[in-house]
Amino acid sequence: MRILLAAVLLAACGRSEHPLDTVHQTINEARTKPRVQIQIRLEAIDPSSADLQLQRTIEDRLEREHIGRVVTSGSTPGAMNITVEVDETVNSIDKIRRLLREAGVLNRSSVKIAETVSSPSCTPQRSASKRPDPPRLCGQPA
Amino acid sequence: MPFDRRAFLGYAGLAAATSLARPIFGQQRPVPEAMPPDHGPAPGALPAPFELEEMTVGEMQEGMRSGRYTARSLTEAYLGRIEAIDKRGPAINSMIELNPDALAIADALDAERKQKAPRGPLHGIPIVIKDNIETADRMHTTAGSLALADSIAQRDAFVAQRLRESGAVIIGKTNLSEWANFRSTHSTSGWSARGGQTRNPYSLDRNPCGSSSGTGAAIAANLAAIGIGTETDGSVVCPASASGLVGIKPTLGLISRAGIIPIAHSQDTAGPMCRSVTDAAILLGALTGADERDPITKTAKGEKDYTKFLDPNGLRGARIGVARKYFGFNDATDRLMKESIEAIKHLGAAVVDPADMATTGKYDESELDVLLFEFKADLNKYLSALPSNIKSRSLADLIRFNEENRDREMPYFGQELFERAQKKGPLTSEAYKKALAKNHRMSRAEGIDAVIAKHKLDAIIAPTGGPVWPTDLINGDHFTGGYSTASAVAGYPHITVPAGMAFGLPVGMSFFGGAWSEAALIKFAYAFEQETKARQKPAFRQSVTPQT
Repeated sequence: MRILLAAVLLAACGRSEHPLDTVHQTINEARTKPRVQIQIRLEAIDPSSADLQLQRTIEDRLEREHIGRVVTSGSTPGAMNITVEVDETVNSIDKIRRLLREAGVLNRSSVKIAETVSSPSCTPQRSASKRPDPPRLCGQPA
Repeated sequence: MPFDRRAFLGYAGLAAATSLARPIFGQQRPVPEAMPPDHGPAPGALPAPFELEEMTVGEMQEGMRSGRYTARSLTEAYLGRIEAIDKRGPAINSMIELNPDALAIADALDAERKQKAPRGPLHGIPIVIKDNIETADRMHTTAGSLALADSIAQRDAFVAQRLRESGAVIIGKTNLSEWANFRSTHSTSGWSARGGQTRNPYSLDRNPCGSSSGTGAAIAANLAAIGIGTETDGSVVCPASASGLVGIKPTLGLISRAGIIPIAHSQDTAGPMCRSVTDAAILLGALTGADERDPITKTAKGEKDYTKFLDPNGLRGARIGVARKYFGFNDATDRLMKESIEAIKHLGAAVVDPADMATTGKYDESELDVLLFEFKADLNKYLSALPSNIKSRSLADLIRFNEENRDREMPYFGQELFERAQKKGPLTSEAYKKALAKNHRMSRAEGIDAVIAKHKLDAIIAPTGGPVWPTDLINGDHFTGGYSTASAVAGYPHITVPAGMAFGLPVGMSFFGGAWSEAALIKFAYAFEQETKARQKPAFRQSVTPQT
């Protein structure tokens, strides 16, 4: 009975006997990283082609310099917004400010920590729920 | 006195020169069966069965996920293994220092895992690192020298910082060829004044190669899950090959050099040394990233996750060249390479044979010249920034220290390379600039890049090394052929993966390619590894040398 239960749990968690699958699963389940919200105020309501080019350059540098992963980007009236996922916020915000300074837009930018999102859980997928599940390990008692 | 190349490269420079001096296809004599004589393990040397033997990072993560293991239990198990066999039993002597805080770190990571989720695939994984990588903790960073015996780093090397951020548990530092083997022209790999002689776990009378000797021996003997070495020319790949490991020497700039005791900034890099390609790929991804202290990293074309390139069919349709100039040193090695090439063909790759670089062996002297110039400049800069309690603050001070402590520092070999480097001028010297330009041209445009373009290759293969030689503190190393120099001088990536056993000793095969080809090389190495499964765990034999 215990073996059967274990098998069901394993299946429920989507675990595989192959260690590489476990590695990928661990990577996927790795704790959600903090996000940093960058807002660059525009001189007009809509971004110009130069503004868009600047935004692309900044996004490219954020990833190429491993400061973080760009999660979303876009614009609202009078501002361009970039959300970056980072390993940790303290050093990353310094790096982002330096990058913005080098791009000549620090004086019209704001950089703040975004609201965090919870880590995806192993099972079950209850994403339909309004309230996110607390992060938990596969095999850990619910 | 003519310069003996083996010393400054610690391994690899000789390969190019000797490849030209010896017949490529060897002698037509019967090849002995590549099996060791049955000398068995050293008396009292056979280690007790070990639960974590040959366990992968993935298996450990699965164990921690299920509750079977914790970071603490893994750390305790490896520390117990070190206690049992590193200084006792087979006494491979791979560790130079243990981290007194390892268990506390493991406990904290266990608590964090319970509260949150793992940081990533290295969360709670015990690791060892070479003793030239700075850690701002209670461990020393000495390059094996007594001159730095009291040196405690003020700040983590970027590599150590990345390991901590990824949740790895640094359980200790490993012995090395002192000063990463850039002191004497007739040194013995794996020896340092502070750490003594590291032994090869496959045959205890043989050399572990170097200069990342301790990491190679420790990971081979299952004293930790994974390890890190550093390379200037051959110092990751040779000890990996000699210990049946996968070693990755990445493109220069993929991993920050900040906080690593230098030889030469134009070639130095850290790299993973692991028992599988998967583990090496996981570790490599954790080490990448831009570092303000090492601006070259800002232009790196790296990945954070190399495991996505692990494809058992990764060699299908690839074009692989064979660098024949590195064959012909050992019949058993050549036979293993022949079998390996057949395996690569079987996996669907087109093999171009031969695919040699026209410049092989033509820049050994300029390589040494560059290393001597950079060693003086880089080491002076490093030493001058150490805390004031360290009395040796320049290369000149080190030379003096070694003379004053000759009985302990130089009982077997001297410091000819230190003395030659001390005579070099600044990095603004024309001689330096010309030598560096020659190195890059011959190893890149006229070397690796040229042969890849000529044959439209995805990668090139060669034997990393032959069966390793007996340790001889009186005469020093005597290398047995192999590849590393072109990739090292070019700053291009190079992966060694176990190809098989010859006389009970591991032999590795190199995959190398152009700049930033780590992903492709990992893909090829993984496909080869999955097909051949050539790694064998060490038997801690007293000797594999046939009795005369």
